[in-house]
Amino acid sequence: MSRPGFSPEGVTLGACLVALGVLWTLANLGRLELLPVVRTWWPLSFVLWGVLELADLWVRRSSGRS
Amino acid sequence: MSSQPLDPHYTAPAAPPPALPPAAAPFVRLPKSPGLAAFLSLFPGLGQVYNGRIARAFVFFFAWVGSIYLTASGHEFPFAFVIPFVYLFNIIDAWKGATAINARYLGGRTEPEDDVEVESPVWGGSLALLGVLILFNNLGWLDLDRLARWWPLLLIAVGAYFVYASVQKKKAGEGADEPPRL
Amino acid sequence: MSGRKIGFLLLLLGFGAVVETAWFARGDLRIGPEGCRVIRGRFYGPSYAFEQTAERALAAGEAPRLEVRNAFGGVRVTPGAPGVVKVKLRKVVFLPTEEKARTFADRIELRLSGDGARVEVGTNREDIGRGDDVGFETHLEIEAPADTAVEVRGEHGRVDVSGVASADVVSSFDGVAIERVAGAVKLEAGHGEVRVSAVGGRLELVSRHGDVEVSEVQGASKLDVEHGDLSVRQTGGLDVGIQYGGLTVESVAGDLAVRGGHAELRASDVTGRAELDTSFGGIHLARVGGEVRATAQHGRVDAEDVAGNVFAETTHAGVSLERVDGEVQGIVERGGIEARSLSKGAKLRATGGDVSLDGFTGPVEVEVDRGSARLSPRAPVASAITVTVTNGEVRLDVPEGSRFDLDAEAKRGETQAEFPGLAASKTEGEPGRGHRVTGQVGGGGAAVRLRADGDVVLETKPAGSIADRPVAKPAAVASAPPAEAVPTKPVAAPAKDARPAPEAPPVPEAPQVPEAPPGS
Repeated sequence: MSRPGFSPEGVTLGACLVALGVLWTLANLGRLELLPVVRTWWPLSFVLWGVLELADLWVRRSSGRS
Repeated sequence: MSSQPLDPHYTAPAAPPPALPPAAAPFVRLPKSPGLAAFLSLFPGLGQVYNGRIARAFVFFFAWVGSIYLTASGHEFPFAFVIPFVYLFNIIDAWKGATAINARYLGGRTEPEDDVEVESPVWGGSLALLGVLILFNNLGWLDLDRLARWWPLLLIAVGAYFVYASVQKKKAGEGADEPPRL
Repeated sequence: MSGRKIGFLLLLLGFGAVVETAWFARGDLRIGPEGCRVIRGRFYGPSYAFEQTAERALAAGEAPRLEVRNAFGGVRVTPGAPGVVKVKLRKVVFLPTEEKARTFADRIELRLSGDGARVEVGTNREDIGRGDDVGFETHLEIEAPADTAVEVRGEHGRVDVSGVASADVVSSFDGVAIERVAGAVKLEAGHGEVRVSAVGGRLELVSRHGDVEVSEVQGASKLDVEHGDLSVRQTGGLDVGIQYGGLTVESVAGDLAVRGGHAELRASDVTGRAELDTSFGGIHLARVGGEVRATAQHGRVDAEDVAGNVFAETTHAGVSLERVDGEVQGIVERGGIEARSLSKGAKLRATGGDVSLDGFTGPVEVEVDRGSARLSPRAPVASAITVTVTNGEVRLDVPEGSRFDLDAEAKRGETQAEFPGLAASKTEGEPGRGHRVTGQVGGGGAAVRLRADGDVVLETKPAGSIADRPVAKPAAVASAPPAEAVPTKPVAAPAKDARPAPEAPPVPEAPQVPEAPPGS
């Protein structure tokens, strides 16, 4: 099965893991406090996922039309 | 009178071969065993793993374990009721899942049901909105505690959406009985 | 909706829940008594402390009254000079530099107001807290005259009150210690350890999620504790509600009433009556001067040295009684009953366990289902004994000199009643089929009726073969001197009424005298 588009969950999960890894590395180097930052910004994962779902829908619809 | 062959070289034809028994239906090995799926589900989630639906397996397992934890930590209501419900539902779901896989297999399709695409922007929009609300609350720009008392508006919105979508479907000629899928 | 999407949704929500919980575990957003959103828990990072003092003279002639309001800081009230209230406010500000901390600290005001003999102490935290993201603690140390009635409303900070006339404290998320109060104490506490000692009047206490220790309360005490252990020593009458915790009570001068749930109850030296009720935990009593009423669901009842009647009821566990001077009634579901040295007989019913009565006197009525009964009187039988056992056997020891009318029947077993003294016996049926023996022992007397599905066995026992020990009396509560004298520690008076037993076993000891010289 092949279709234009991507897996929004996959991209979101990957992006979140990358971000968490970067933040945690910086925290271990003493550049920032991990918990306050993660606690404030974690809902961005939902925003990203939602936006990607909308993008995926748009891609599928336009490829369906074309 | 008995017929004697005139030609000495004539050989009586051999007796016709015995009739074959009516053809049996070809043996089909179904991909999944519903019984095995249900049995494996005695450990919540394992039946779904057998069916190849991993995400569902996680959902059932954590729903079950989470309910037990919450019941044990003092929230007997409502989680004590959730435990048996989740457990039984997981067994039934595994059975039905395996049956559905077999049905699709016999119908010639192998596409798993889980790949059904989301057809509406409501899903993506809701996720983004949820993220924005919680983020704004964390940044202090919004007071979710005060906003939370308006939650029944969500029910109204969902209900209105169902009504609207059903009406649209009816206009398009399809049955209006099924609630729209998100 | 695909399972994958639902699964990922739950994963994200779970992650968010973990992060939020971790955050709230060290910092919580809730409404405090100050009416503002404040962060709970310990602040951390660099901090600087500054002090401010004030005092207020009190109008003479009236009993002084102190009202303290504080949050995120401790409150300590100690006795001071008469006629004046002295307050020291220690402000601890969590900011990186001393200069910034001092600037902020200057905004924190100590509020000392009141009229006549009433003094109010607080801070302007409510005005500062909003909009700022600076953590600061306000610790109050107050000296008040010894005849002050103190009221404290605090949270997220220790409360210590001592040497005052009365105390009314509401506090949470830290410990509370109240001691040497001449009058009544009222306390509501949560999420912190509680200690109350040396109270001259009544004590009313509600505590959640913290262990509680109460000692030396002269008046009656009413305690309500959940999710914490409660230990009580030397009080007047005691009324306790306890859930999800253990209770230990020593020395009650008065009645004891306990309503427990998921609680193990232990009490000793109660001069009045004891009424205890619990579930998923046992009841253990020693030395009760009055009546005992003990009910435990899924828990056992043990009682020894009870001067009054005993009523014990349990499920899924047994009852054990020793040395009871009053009448005994026991009902056990799925368990047995063991009793020694009952003076006034017993009425016992057990299912799913054996009943064993050792060294008893007085009339006895025993019903056992799925268990056996074994009775061994202390003295020659002179009172009625009725035992009915289904699915078990009956054994009765008959001391020499007993006089009774015997009627014993073993429905599916054998009745063995061959002993000297049994006269005019009549046997009906045969072993295995309603084997019944009737007759008179020692010329006849009280009615002894034994019924069992299994065997019924009577054996003689020489008189006096069962050792005896009198019921030990509870030690009375030691009395603490009134707090006005402001001693450093009250001296417990020696226990009254403790009479040594005439026989070898020693009497249970009186409560410890805290300042007894070593070696006495």
